[in-house]
Amino acid sequence: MEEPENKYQLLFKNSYDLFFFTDSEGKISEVNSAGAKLLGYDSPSEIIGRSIRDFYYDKTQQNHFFETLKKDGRVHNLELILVKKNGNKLFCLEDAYLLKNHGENKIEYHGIIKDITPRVESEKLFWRKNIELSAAIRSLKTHQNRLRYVLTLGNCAWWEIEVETGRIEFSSLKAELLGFENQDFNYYQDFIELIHPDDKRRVTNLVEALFENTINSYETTYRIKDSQNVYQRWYEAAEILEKKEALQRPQKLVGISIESRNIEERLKDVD
Amino acid sequence: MSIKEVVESFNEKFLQISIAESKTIYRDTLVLYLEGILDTENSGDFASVINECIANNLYGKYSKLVLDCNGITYVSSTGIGGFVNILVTCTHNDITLCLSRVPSRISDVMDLLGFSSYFTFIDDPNNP
Repeated sequence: MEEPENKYQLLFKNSYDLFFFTDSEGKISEVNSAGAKLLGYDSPSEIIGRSIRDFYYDKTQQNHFFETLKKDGRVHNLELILVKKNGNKLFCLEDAYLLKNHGENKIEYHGIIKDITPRVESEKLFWRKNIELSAAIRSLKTHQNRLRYVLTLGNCAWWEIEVETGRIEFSSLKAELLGFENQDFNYYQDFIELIHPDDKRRVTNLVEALFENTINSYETTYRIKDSQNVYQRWYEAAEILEKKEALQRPQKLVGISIESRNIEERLKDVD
Repeated sequence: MSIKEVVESFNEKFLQISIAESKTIYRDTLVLYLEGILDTENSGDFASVINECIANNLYGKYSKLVLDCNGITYVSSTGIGGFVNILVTCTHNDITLCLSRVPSRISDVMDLLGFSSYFTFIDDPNNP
């Protein structure tokens, strides 16, 4: 077993962190090899005798450090930026305390500095991604609003079918135009059921052709029954939105539906 | 919750960072005057409270938030992270964030971390 004093010397010598001792003016009296290495120097002798202040990047951080130390007698986890011999900057956490030797009326500072630059670098990446993500979401929102505005202006309803399940998602306008509620439709077949018997087979074939990937898109018109049992004439355009890469099987279809009478009436109004 | 109450509850929470004054200018712009330090210990809470204000009170009422930094005496990298956090919340809520009278001690750290270009800096908090 080592003597306690030797144990502390070993800790000082073998630590990866920078251990230092300074006088009241901040002049370094002792520093470990790891500390010298951290600052880019070959040996502690290159640093001993210099002021610890020489290594602080920001003077106000330095002032904050010494003011806190004088006021509270110690600092804990204070973040500082140190400058290496080659000019590179290091983000560090510092723990230090002030030691008063009343007998000799001397003041000393003892401190341990830990390099946290890798942690700060990874935090930077995270923050940057966060900023980019929020800007992308904002841009997406703007586009979404623009699209919604254009669709509403054109009295145009969008829809999307998941090929595997047949589930349909759609803008509420599609149900509204027919006088139904959104919850009345869960699968694309729920809409197909309302199509005029003379048009139903043709429209079903077109949708299934997209499902089977034998066509990429279609445009058609058909008659569809509203909640008052009156047939409306609709224009519809659809295409494959997503394909499963390996099999080239369609995953999602997307389309728009426009009630054509509406357009005709509006054209008349414009005329 | 009024802005006065928000400021009071904010100042009750922290010992090291506080809102010295809040001012509404041009009806749609709120200026918060910050004082103190932003370090590893308080940056997360600082951002959370400002973000809560944005989400609950400012949204729909103010379209611009000015954080006056003249009274900030120390900032760590985590403090810059706090500003980034607030910027992200502002973006989500369509609020323009401006930092006014940013001392060089803050802008230097921001530059070093490479985040200055994401923020709008102004000289006069009353003229965003």
